[in-house]
Amino acid sequence: MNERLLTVEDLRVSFDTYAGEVQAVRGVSFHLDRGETLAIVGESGSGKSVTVQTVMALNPMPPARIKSGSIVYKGRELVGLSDREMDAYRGKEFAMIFQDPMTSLNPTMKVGRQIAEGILMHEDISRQEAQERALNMLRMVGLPNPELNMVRFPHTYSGGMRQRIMIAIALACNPSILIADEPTTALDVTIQAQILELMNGLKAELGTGIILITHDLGVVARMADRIAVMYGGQIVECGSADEIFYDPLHPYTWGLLGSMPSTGVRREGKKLIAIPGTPPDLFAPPPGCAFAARCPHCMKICTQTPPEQSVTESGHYASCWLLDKRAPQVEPPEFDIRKEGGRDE
Amino acid sequence: MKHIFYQRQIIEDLPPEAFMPDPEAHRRAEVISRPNINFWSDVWRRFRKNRVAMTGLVIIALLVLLCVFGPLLAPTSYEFTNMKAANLAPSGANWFGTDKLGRDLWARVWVGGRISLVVGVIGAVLPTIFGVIVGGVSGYFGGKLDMIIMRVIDIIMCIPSLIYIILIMLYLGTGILPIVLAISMTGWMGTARSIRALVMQLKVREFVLAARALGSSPMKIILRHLIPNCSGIIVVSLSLHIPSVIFQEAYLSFIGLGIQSPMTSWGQLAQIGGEVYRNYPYQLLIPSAVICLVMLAFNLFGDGLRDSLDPRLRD
Amino acid sequence: MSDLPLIQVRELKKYFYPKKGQVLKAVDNVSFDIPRGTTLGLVGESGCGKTTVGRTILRLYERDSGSVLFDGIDVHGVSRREYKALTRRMQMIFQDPYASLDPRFTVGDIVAEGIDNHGLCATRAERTEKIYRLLEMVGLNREHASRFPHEFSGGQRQRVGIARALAVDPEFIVCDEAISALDVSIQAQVINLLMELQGELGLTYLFIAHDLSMVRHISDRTAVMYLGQVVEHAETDELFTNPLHPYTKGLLAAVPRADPRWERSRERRLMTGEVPSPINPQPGCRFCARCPLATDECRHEDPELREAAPGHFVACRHV
Repeated sequence: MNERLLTVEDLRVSFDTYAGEVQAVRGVSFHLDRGETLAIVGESGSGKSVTVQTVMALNPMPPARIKSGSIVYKGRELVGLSDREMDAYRGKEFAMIFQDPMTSLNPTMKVGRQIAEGILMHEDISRQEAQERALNMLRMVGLPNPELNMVRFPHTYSGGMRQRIMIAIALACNPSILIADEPTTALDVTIQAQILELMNGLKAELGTGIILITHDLGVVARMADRIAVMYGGQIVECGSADEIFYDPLHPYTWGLLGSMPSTGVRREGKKLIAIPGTPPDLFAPPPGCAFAARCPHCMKICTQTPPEQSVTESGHYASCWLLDKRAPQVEPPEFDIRKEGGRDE
Repeated sequence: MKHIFYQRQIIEDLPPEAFMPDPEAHRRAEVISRPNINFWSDVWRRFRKNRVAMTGLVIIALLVLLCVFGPLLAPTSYEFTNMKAANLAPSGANWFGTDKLGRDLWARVWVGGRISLVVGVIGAVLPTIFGVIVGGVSGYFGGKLDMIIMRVIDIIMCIPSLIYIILIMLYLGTGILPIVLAISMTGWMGTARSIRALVMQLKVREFVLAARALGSSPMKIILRHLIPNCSGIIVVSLSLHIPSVIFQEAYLSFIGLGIQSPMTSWGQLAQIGGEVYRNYPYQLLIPSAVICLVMLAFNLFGDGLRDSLDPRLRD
Repeated sequence: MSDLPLIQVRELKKYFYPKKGQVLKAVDNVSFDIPRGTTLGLVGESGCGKTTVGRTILRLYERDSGSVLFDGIDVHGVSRREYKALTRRMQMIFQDPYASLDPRFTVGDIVAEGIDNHGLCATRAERTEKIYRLLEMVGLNREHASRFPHEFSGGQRQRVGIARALAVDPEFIVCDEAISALDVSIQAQVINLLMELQGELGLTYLFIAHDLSMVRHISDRTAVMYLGQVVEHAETDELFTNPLHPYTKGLLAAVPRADPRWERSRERRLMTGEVPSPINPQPGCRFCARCPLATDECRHEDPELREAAPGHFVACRHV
């Protein structure tokens, strides 16, 4: 355990558009160990998808552009590798599953063949062996009658089954890192529960490191070991799941947790803690803290100077001026989860 | 829970008031910082970048200018005959030469261009309007009405258009109006079909449901919601339709059904030039070249317009 | 104000015929009431017919049989003119904030569409004033009136949709997955806004959603749908704390809670299988293919929606 798989340092990615530069990712650092799940949480446009797509080298360049930073996988630097060099990693070392599996499945190829092709691309084995492996993968992701399913086409499946097939394809080469970009957003809750269970089971079995991108805090609570909260192209807070849920430091995290009514909490006619306003336009990011304009505790300095990271003894960190020793003490609002943490009703 | 924090770098020299609350910040949260761009200015921005299409637009503009002002530069009027100066080759005095009656071809080409362009524009606009309305109604209401309209269109499209164009022209006689009418009657079916297909896609969109829920009448929904959302396709089909109408008119004139002398059009000039092609090839080549140029220009323009309207290319 | 529920839905049926010989019973025998000033939450998985219920109530779809009474008026029985008058009193907020606003209209014109249709403002100045007031009511400002929808974020667009629905001063609003496409923090804004408006204007809502936690927060009563039928219907707290139908139980168990310790300690009983195709359903309980309690009887006979406890209706023979 605790083998470091991936380290991303100060990654900055921009998109060049007609109107100018959109700074989608503005200095993101994180790491991932073997067998752990890192959840990246944030609203749409916070840069979470762009971050992992950059790790996978999936962004077309141009318009995308890595301005600075490094991505180190098992001690090797990936920034600056050519597309062809990246092919050796994509699929073999990193695999990715998406929100809409249909966009990444080939509609004209039988699923067994699709899985086998993926294996053949990276491994020097016979077609026969690859077919065998594909069959095993289908069994592993819990498809009933895998032999029959080998010869079906993707469009004959429901959304949940397609996502299982995507996971089978992704894990066929036994990658070290699985990147899941909103894997269950398009699915119903009962199917979502099945897929999450499957991912957790496979993680335990194969020791894959998972980067999970989602905006659903319930999914995060179920899956994550560590959580990075992204806002405006930056990680504003990062810590273990318990630290983020029970001892959040950043006002944006407070807002996120407060805006979600927990199913375990009764309605008492009370309001949710909404975050007013809209996320910043990264076409012209604010000079100070990206969250300042929506923050209930905004200070003068917040709109002018970006905050420094403050780190606790356990490595839980947040970027917020409120954590500065000169700032006034602000108590986080009372969340129901904080009060009731771990208790059933 | 209290933590001991350490900060990686500390900015020391901060004034104490920096940590005062800033209630003003929220005002800025709902401001849209991007410039106000409407649909057509966005299209124009993309169109401008397309060099080929811009070339088409410039050629069209030049031809229109020449049609308006070109005849003023000619030594004589387009109908002035001078048998002593018949069939002159292009020269400093007669830039395009003269025809067998000694009329200045420069003047005739641009006067004929007026007719060709007017026929082209009207002959494309009229059927487009008709086709849009038929297609809109057919697509929105669907069911039996749609079935009937579509079968009628199928039947009309089975008959070669030349047959009834000729019948109409024989009945109404020659001249601009009959030509425009005859061409219009053949051009609306394609537009109607494509608009119908688009309307059928649009009518299940939620904004149409919203309009119905707000009590908008079907006619209002078609005219105010559906057709404006088809405007991209309409404009493209219009810009690609104009050259084909110009060509049809040229074709009709060429076989002698079109504009009659002394009035002229590009097709008629080509027809007359064709008679003397062996001896005076410039009399055929010049009007033909102009027809080719205008067709090319409109097609380049229309293609470019379609590319700039394509939402998939929107960034 | 009378005691009559504002909305009475009785044995409503809406079938679609996707191909010859196929029938999709999107809404099959659905009945419920919504008393004035309250919110009914309608939950279920995709394809269960909840959106069709909302649209059929507003007569955006014609019903096959059954009736919808709005304040005693038969929505599907009235003439075109009377229906237009009804559209002033009942409105809808749509799911997709991108598809529900006409991209060629300015936000001001979108909001004013109902005002124009019903002739609610006599002068241009009055109309402009009303647009501004509505935009400010939903937390936007007057400069936004001249902008086009594509310049707004999802949450802002959804608020434009709410302003449009409010413009005709309706009594009843169908919120069809009105928050599903929005980010969490924005969802809370919209929910707060809807609840505030209910408090101020006494609105009645049909709140259609698949997000159970938000439904629990906003609804007074909640109905659970499965394949075109209501399987359980009760006071919201009762339904969430004491679910009776095996489907409701499975649905609630599947919802992840934003509480890692609770998630780690919970015992999982996952519902197996997927929602079967709604085309040409077999007789008997629709849920029996996934139900742990299913018996032969369930496979042949439709269960009745009966009152298992006061005000708590459930369609299952095993409770």
